[in-house]
Amino acid sequence: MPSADPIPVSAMPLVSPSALLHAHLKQSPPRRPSNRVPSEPRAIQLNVGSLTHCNGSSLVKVGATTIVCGVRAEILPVSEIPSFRVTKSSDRNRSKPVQRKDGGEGSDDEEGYSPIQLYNLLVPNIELATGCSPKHPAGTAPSVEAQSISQRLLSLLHTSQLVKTSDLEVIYTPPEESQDLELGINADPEIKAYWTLYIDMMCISHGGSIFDAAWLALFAALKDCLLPQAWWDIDSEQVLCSAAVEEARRLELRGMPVPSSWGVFVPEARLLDMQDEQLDQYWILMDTDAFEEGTCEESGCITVDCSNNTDSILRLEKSGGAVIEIEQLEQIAGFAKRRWQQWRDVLQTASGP
Amino acid sequence: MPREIDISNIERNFILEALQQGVRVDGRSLDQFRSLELEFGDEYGTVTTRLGKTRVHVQISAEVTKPLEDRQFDGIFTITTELSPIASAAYEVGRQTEQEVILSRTLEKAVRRSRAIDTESLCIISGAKCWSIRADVHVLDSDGGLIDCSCVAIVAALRHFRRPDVSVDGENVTIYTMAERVPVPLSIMHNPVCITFSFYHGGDTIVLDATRSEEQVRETSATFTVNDFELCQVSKMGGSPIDAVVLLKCINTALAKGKEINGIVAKKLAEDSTKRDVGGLIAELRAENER
Repeated sequence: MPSADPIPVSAMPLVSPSALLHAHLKQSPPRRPSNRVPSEPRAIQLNVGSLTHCNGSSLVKVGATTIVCGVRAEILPVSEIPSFRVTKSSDRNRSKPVQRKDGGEGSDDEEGYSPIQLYNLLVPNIELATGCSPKHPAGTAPSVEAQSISQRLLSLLHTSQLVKTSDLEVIYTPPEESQDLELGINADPEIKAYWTLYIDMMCISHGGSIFDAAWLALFAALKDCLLPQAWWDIDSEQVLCSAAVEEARRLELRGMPVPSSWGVFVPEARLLDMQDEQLDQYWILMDTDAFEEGTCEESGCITVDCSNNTDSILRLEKSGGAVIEIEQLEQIAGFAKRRWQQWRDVLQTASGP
Repeated sequence: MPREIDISNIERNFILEALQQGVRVDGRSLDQFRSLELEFGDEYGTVTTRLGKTRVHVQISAEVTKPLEDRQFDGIFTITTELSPIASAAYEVGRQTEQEVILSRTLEKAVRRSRAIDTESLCIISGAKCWSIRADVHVLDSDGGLIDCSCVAIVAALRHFRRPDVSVDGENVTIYTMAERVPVPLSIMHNPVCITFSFYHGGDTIVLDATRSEEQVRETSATFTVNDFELCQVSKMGGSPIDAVVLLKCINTALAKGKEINGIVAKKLAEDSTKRDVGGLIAELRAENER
């Protein structure tokens, strides 16, 4: 005899998530349980400058995912770096040592030798153990997902060379009268310290595609970052900072990389009706949320940068599944480009306190 | 919880009966080591040691770091060992077992605490810069004799390793790359070798370099660390009591075996050095020549 109590609608994501997603996607036109089309990203809300004690901060909300990011700048004297090495090439290339007026891109190329990587001047860290989802209870040790996202953020920072090394250098130029060629004392400018940026992110709500939201928060915080003017005081032999806000300067970021996560949903065999549907049906879902991440076997992330009117792919990651091929990748790259434009619009209209 | 595969009673009795008659299952005599093979890699400080079926890979690396506050004139030397399931199904990643602790402590006392490396020579600027030498020990196959094989591998790797050359000019420290200057070998004070003895039948039967099956059957074991001239360390953790005179005999045997093993290591190092000397052109590059 038939069951008297049908399964309530709110329990369907727990009972059979694949069936629920399939029931939504096979409509015409296909919809998602969050009432989006498969290629539609979620809306992005961005606040910058919320944390007044940080050098730079941002609050990013992508759908149900909420991430707060703060950047803290600290001075790392060169004398405290044990493996610091003086390079002749960096001295030779530096024609205007202290004030960099021209933002020439060519002179800033760091071929192979980057102090940001060598001395770990950028330290991103994401905290997921805040109770943001049932899988991440508050107060536990960093999970595999948190460590993996932190490593991916650091790797993307290095790959895209987002921050210029010259922005983080504190350079001292001895006065001209101290130069004495007979005694061998030269007045070459030398690097006395580096700024180290500690980028800390907290995930308030875990709603899927954490890496995308974390990178967007990191980028907005770095864009909002203000570094005070620092100089080397020869008398006290330490780095002094100016407290005046007018003398502080912002970071010049190279390009604007934007990651886009995707997932591929392949329905289970028992959900298919042999007479009605194709055997190899799949859907590509852009900007997956937490529910869709659980049901998609194949997932990936593409990072594009469309600045300066040139479209370039910085990174391509994929794991699991067997569906994605070249045509699907081109389609995904088109989606990612539209995501880039969405982020650029959000960034231009970013609201501050 | 994975654990060692238990040996059956028949096999146990067979091994014990054979040892009572002075015969080992693999045909060796009681005081014979398995064949020791060393393979040096392309990079300095890389060695794979084979002791029968036991295989250990050691990689030495160096980086400039800040010395410890209480020892500002010394460099830093650390040995990292980890048993992983690649060696045996009994080992688990991350969980430290008793065997891993024993292996780690014995190697630490044999090599570092006995000052095989002159850590004072690793100092660049006292209190500010020093070399930090790190020995990573990877156990690839485990068939008994882990301590012996690991110790030989570490010492061979340390003797094979070369660090970049350093010049100090005032406060400026220049570290040359391998292409700029010939790298510098480490300052080795002595070459410790671990020799493990296994005891059966209340100490009446003494076996050298036991395999895994023989290790499971033994009553107790003692590890002696010797170099070419003296005894560095004795380690006997529990088990049956052994007479002192028997231990003294073992020490004499260990000293002889240690000399033999160090001879093998020196010969292999000389062979590797000859192989790197392509065409014998190193003699042409000598700056100091006889008059």
